[in-house]
Amino acid sequence: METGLAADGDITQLLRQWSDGRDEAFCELLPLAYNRLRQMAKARMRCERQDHTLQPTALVAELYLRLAGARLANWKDREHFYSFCARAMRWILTDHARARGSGKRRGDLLLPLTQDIRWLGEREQDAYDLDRALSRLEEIDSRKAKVLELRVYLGCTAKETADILNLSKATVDRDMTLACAWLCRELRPEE
Amino acid sequence: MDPLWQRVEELFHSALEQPAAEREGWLAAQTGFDPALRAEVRSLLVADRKNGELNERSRAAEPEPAGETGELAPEEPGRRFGPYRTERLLGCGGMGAVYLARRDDGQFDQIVALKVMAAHLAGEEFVRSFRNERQLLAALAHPHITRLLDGGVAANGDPYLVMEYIEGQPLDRYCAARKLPVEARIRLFQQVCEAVEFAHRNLIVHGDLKPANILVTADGTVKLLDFGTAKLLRNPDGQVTQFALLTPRYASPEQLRGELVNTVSDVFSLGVILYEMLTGAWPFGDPRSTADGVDRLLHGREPSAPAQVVSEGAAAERSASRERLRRQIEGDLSTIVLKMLESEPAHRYESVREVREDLERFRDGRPVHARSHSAWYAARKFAARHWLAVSATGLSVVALASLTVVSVYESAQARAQAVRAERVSKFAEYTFLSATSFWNSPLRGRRDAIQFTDILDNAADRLGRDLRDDPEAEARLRGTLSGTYSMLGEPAKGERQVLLGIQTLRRARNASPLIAPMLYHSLCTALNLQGRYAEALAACRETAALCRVSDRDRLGGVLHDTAYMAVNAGEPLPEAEKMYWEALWVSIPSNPLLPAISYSRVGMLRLRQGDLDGGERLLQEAEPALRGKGEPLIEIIPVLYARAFEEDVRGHYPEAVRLMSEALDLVTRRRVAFMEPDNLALQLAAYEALAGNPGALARLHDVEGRLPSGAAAPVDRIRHDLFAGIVEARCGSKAAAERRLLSALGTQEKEMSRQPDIAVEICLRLMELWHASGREKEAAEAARRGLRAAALAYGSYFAGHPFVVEMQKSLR
Repeated sequence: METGLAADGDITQLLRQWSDGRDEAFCELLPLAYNRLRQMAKARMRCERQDHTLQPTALVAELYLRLAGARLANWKDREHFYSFCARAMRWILTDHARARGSGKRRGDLLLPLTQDIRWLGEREQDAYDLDRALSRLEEIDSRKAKVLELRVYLGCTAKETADILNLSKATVDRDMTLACAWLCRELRPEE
Repeated sequence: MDPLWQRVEELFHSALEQPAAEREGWLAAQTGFDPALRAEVRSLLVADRKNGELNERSRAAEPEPAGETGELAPEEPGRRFGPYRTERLLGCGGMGAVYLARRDDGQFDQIVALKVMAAHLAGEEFVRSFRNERQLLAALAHPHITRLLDGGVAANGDPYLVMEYIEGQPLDRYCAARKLPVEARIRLFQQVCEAVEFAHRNLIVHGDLKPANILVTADGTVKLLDFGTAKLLRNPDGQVTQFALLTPRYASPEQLRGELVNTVSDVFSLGVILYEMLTGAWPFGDPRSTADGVDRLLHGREPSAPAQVVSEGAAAERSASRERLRRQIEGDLSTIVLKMLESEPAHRYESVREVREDLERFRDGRPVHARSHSAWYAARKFAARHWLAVSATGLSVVALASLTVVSVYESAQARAQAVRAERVSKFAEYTFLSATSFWNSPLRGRRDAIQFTDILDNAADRLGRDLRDDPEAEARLRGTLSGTYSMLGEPAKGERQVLLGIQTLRRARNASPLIAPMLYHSLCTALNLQGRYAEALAACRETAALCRVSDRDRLGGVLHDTAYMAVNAGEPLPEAEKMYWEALWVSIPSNPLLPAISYSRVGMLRLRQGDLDGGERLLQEAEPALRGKGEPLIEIIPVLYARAFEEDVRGHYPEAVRLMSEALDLVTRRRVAFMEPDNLALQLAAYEALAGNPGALARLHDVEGRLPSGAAAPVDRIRHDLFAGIVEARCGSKAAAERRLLSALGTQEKEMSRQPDIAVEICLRLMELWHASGREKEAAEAARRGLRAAALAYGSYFAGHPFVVEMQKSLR
């Protein structure tokens, strides 16, 4: 559902419906938000200036805050907010991949957002498989799943991830090493 | 977490610390007896290596991260736009890139800056309005604004702007490179202000002010860039939708929320810029931390005090020591900057011109205007924090010996100003928003006849519609509206608003827990003013319960009010007194008057319970604080009442008259809101009658002519009957007096039976009346009845109480 530039009003409307409890609004919302997000990502990613907060986290934050208004959501804390955004991104991408079928150019997927797993996204199935794998990882070790989620879907740096989850950077780094290895094993078993 | 997994994790990391060649052996040694464990760890180690290889392979294959993830290279220079050809990239911004370009159509040699917008990124909407506004931007001719020379649309649909090319450095780098001291920076900043002012005068809001958009040439001239995101102010009320991407770091809260922006959003952005120029720090934390940025947006973080955030490095860049820089920034300069950074647009400077002028004043050493607001600001903050405590003094109705119901709403001086200002300003914001609709409504024709209540009515109507999607805001505003109605003497309307607000609040998700107590307190006010004391008490109790849970700061004031309501509603006096003490215990005495006021109330209760000495002592303690210096404060009135009552009890009637007169005089002169002078006048009449002053009867008739008829609250009816009875007994018709006094007694027995002290005085006056008429038997009966009531009311203070002594004497 390539909708081009969705009017902000539509998105706001859907967000409100969704926060009123209409789950299906969220599904309608995602493609619109996704396009918006892509546009913002492209525009942001063009430049190197320091005063732009380049990170995709900021994009998602900007998106949700601007469209939804700070009033709409009442986040318990930062972790809650970021987890939500990461989860939303994950859903967006997985759904997008699923709905459009695979066979997309790599460029459309917004993956990877972290340089630690550059190979992620090279295959058509990756977005979908990643989602499944993450769900499995959540069962085994939820903290690593969170770290991975933030870093892959929101492109949070190690430092940011550490801040958000209240961990040390060293812990985040170690978690990433293991999580990436695990992911590699899951998604590229054959080689 | 699975312990097996934990073990796997430990082994994995430890294995990686081993030299690669020895890893396998080490692992075998560690996991000797558990082949499954070894296999698991090994497979992960293998995967880890593979991960690295795959990454390398990826990196080699595509040096640029592909897709939208990495940095997309902007256009290669050398492209043609109209008569210009781009030569090199100067930088990026917003949704486009800026190139150095040269005119090469042979006409003449011209170097320009050419800004290309990526149409497919910008979206149709932007492109359309971009075209529309080009004309307007071209007209901005000012020495501190880069001229827009030309513009067009490239073949592929990308719109572009051609601007004067300026050789200069961005503002922040210019200042840093030259280690400019604070004075010089301010002068530069004032140039920036001039430029923005000029744009605003031409109805253009910049919308994306930041140091990167402000160049400084070698000779120190400021040049403002990039009005590309600027929008024309379309409406006279100056509000416009900003949809373009903006830089969060300098954006105002309303911009970040995607709300309407106007000139004061530019004021905010300038505030951030100035803050950074002065201190070298971002007002809201670490600018690189997106977490901080998000926090600011989500939780409305206030700016840090400028003087606190300067570092050694920053001071060096400003050619000063850290101490010296601090001193330069503290005081007025800080005040100016912080005022620009107010999160509420209405609280910032209204215009950039005001900012520039205040900076001028600062440089001249004159007092800045921001300062004069800051006293109000402090008072406002105080009121916001303590609004209930403040209004407690106002709301608390003075309970007199026999029941005068008077509402002292207007607190004194700054606190009253602050409360009203807080309420009015909040309300004004709302009415400002609805002003357009008001002027369009049919009411407008009746310009002369418009009352403030008309405006309120109109706003009340619109509230439901305008804020249908925001129940929390609607509830909050209805609370404010209710208070305003009550202030204007329309408590029934106030009641209606607050009930609507309570209903609305139920619809809100995750609303602030401070709203519910606020609403119930407004309800209490509205009910109190209608004389529905029992209901007001219930509302007050509800408020207290809510405050206990979510707003302990205000609990003290609320308990104070609850105690007061309880007295009016006929609750036993010892209970009410306990509540006052609890209020004192709980409340944070940041309102220095609250303890004194509470003392005066408790003093009154002590007197009513027969403890004349105790009550007198409390009143003596309270009075100096409440009298203040010079003009007495309104809060002195309860003290005057109480003392008048005491004199009445002791039989010093001229004294009682004097004190009541003083109170009445204060109320009349100062026109205290809600305080009906007539209620006091009635009581004064009674004391005058007791003192034998002529004119008491005249005063009674005068007042009674004005008092509204109809059902009043029991406590009010009793009061009225008692005082009227006293006056009639002494100066008028004995029959009327008897009728009144008996009526008062009847009401007391039926409705205020738990405050027996009221009966004491009524019986006493009946006794006197009948004694004077020679009806000794009835007089004795009255005395006995009075004494029974006194036993209940005074407990251990029975013996020696003047009323008791009177009545006992007559029985002998």
